[in-house]
Amino acid sequence: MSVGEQAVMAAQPPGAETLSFQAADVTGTHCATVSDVQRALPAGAVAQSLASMWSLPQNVPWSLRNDSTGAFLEDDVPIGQQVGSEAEARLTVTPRTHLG
Amino acid sequence: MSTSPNGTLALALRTKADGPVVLRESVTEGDLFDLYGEVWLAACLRKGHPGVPLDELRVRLVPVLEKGQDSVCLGLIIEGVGPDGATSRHVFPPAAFEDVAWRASQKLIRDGQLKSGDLYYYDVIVDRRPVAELAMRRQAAAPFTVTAKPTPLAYLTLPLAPLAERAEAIGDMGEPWSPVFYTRAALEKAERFARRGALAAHPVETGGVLVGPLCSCPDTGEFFLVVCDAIELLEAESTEYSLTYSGATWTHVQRTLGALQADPTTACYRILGQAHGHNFSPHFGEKKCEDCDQFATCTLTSVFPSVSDRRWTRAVFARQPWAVCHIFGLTARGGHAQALYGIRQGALAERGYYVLPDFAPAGPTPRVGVGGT
Repeated sequence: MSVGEQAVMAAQPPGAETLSFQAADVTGTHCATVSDVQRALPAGAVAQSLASMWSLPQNVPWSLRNDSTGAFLEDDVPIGQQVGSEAEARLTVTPRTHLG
Repeated sequence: MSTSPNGTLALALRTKADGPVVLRESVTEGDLFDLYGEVWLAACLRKGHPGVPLDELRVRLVPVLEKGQDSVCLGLIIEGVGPDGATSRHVFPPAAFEDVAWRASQKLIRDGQLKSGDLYYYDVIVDRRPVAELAMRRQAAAPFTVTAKPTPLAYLTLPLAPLAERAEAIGDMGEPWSPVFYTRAALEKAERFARRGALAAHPVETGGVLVGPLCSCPDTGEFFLVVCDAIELLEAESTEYSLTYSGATWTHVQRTLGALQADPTTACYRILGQAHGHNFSPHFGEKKCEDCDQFATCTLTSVFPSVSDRRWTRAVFARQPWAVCHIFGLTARGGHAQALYGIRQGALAERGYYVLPDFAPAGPTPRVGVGGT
């Protein structure tokens, strides 16, 4: 486990094929700049990867929520189609589970 | 951070009590973080070291093997060494791994080896097989670059005794929990939000998030929290037995909290837990107990932490062992009942709390410290 600079795994060179955004979990315990994200990656896969990297429970599905609109990104749709090219998009990794 | 047993921890699942093992499910680092968090709370936060991040806690895992067994565990001991060199030792029973077992059971259901509602059985084991598969899965987890930003733990440095002197204790205070205080106004607000759903023609679950500061006592080193306000869950998806935060709900919560954090007097507020209403009869609509008249007090209530409540708490409050879950419900006679739950041994356990008439620390403004999670 580590904090600070995380390992870069199969990072892509910067360019039109990738995007960056600011990410946090719902309580702000984790915050990070996420870069070199392939636009074609499904948003749900990005959420799940971040949750895994932050050692969040893998028992629940995770989604990305756009802080500016409040809307959840569609898990199966490429993230590049749902996040603009602005570098300051803020997305929250949010559990898709419920109280009972 | 941790030293592990010779092997990896896993669960061995069986579909029959005396049947063969049908699945081994690895216990991941993420699965252990809640347990580490409890050790961190005891070894650092409650010992006057709230500035020590969870990541810096040194822990050692010691499986408690069944007598004569090479791999089956009666439980897991986690030892944490605080900055003062003292070791805090915690024993976690197999029940602390219920969520891992549930995850494994879902795989069995998908594979057709188990049906929803079927019983299954599990042991915590030390899996001494090679861990190459797990390592490969971890390597594939991050196809982009993540640069973490420091998220220091903000807390107030505040004497505990003056608060305790004027607080009313609610519930069982016997267990050595980290103290939780509510202001009376916040408690009433939380209950109002939780019970609002009971007013509907067909009662549903409603609630709010609990906010306030984390505090560290400079005299005793105790770590405690003060719930000073509640934020209602607007536009949540409510049913009789469930409550789902929508995107709009989270947005309202985060914007309201952001406004509080922008105010110097409430800059230390964070989400400390949640409250919600189980606005249904404990009989699920049936009549009262046959011998109801023989008891002065009705103890049959709808107040309990459900599996969903536990799972939600683990997800939202990962690495936050101080988090609380307050449930407001009904007795079988239609009266009100409530209980506060905290995280203990990987589960939600009922605990007591204190109610303050108000929270306005006397004297100089409390010092704000920063640590890290």
